[in-house]
Amino acid sequence: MAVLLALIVASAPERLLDSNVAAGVGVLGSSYTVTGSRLGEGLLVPTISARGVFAGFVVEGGAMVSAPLARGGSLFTLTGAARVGWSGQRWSVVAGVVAQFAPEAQPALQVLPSLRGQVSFGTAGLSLGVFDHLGLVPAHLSVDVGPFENGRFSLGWVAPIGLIGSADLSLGSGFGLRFTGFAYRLNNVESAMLLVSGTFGGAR
Amino acid sequence: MKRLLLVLLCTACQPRAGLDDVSGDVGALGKGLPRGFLWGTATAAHQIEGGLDNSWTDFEAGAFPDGRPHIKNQDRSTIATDSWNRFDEDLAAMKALGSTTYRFSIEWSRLEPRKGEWNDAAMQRYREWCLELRAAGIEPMVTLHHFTLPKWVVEAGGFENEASKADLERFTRRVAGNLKDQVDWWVTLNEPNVYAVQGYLAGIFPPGKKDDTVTQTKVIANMLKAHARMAVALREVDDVDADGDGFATRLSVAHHVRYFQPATASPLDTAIAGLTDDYSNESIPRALKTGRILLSVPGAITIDETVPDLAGSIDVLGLNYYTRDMVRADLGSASLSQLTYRKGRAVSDLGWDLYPDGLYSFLTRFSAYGWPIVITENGLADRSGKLRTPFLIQHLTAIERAIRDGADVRGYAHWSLMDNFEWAEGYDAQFGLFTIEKTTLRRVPTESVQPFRAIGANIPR
Repeated sequence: MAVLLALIVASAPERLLDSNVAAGVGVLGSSYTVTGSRLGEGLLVPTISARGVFAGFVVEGGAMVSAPLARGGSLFTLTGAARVGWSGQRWSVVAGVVAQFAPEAQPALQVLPSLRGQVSFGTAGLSLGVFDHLGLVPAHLSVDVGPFENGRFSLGWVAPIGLIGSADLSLGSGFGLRFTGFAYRLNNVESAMLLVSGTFGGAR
Repeated sequence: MKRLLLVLLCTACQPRAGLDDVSGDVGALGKGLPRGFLWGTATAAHQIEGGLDNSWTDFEAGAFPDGRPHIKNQDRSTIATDSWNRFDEDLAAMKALGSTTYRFSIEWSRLEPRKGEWNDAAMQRYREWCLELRAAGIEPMVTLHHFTLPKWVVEAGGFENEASKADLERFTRRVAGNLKDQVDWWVTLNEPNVYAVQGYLAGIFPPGKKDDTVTQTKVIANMLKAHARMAVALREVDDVDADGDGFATRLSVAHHVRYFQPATASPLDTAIAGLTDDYSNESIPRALKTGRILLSVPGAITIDETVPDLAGSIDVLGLNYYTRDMVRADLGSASLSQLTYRKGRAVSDLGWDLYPDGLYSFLTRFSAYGWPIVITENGLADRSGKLRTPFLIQHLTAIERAIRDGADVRGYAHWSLMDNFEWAEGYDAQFGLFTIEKTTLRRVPTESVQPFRAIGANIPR
């Protein structure tokens, strides 16, 4: 797999999106607030994701398990995302679905649309996402900077109130570390996550 | 934002107790409750009195379109536990429990079977009950509306018709006038949200309408408007401090709360859980505090109305707490969600998740409104009787913890004194601290009577 990706990366022309794989683990907090109280909990969220870019055609996939950290918390879930799209040199768009499976819930399957578009202006750019990050972020608009020699960074706004940020740090030989975090409030819903992933492939 | 992130991530560190953690030892439980804490049980007229003819009578005999009877096992309330004729037995049961309060309801259809036609003998009997309770050191807590309506009110549209509030106010004045020297603790309405949801969304209470969230929401609003009129009437008529505590009236609504937990971390599940919580748990206390009724079912109805006399219309918040629901978004359903329970946890015979932390959560949460709180119902359907004592211990532990954390909790009424007609569940769901022997209707103590009494004995006097 790594060799295949390395070949893809090596042979691909310069495009806004790179082929890469990532695997990580995060902590997700999700809650709603009422009368000054907060009802919610924390979950452990191992994730994997992969993207392939083939002559501009983009295929993305990801999966996440969420398991409550406290006994008796919310239900175990498995989330999968599949998006396809196109990446040019200055813009890209991928769209698809996020499907969350919770065996104990009724309905067990919940499907959301998922979209991400990016545009680059050299070393800076903008990205817009709807139910991005495996469906966990309802909508965001981010400023991307990089890639630089040591990595790539992003900081953005989550609608209506919130922040999202990521840092891709290069460790050399195609390997890297990615830190992703967000926190937002939507009506009385609050959600926050910190995810640390190991990456291999392109930094974009 | 940093604080938000920290708080959310730290929710992971909070332990969650379950019923499976409990030993059966009462120990010092009760000592953490305040002096004068009301300790007792709750019932409702239609579920225990027997011999009633009201909005439930014809419904109980009916069936759903698919042929299933409205009431499980085709049960009918009929004689119920015959409490209308066996109050002495009920009182003996309360004494055996060491009760200091008894919450019961006055049946409107019995007192006013036809508009303007009053049954004074029945009123006198309720008055005698109050006298006997007081003589036994048991504070009467009287509910004026508990799920039933006289048939003539139903024919006029029930709570769908805003005019019902005038009739309910008349009834309130009549009852208050007769009981004012015996009763200070008044519960105007029992569970307006449950009345509306079960009658207009689930269709399992009269009038048996299904998926009608518009009427359901109007009914809740009309009930709150009726409550405002009832509160004014009670404060005007009841000018006697029956128990000498300095207050002639202690008004409340028995508000049903459920702990709505998002089934998953999906933003959709969390958002719908938040909406459900606001509609079902928050809207009523908010209206009682501010006078503003704000109820919304997205895509169906929004009511935003300020009602005269609603703000400040209660002195005490009554909480009926039983369970936790996992909320899964289902945008195709009228309620926008499906409710489910977590597998592997202790549940009641009705499949309800037994979740004492939920009670703690509501006690601390609603303390922000500034009212004292009385738990006007809390219990479980438990035919085996094995879960009731651990349930009781866990929930009392949660109450004591909430008090330590600043909640002003003044009383606890266990649902229920005895097994009774449990609405759509018929006689199948057994909530009683006493069971009812089928042929003789004798009140038989369960294993939980002694622990209940022991906790009561620990309360500082």
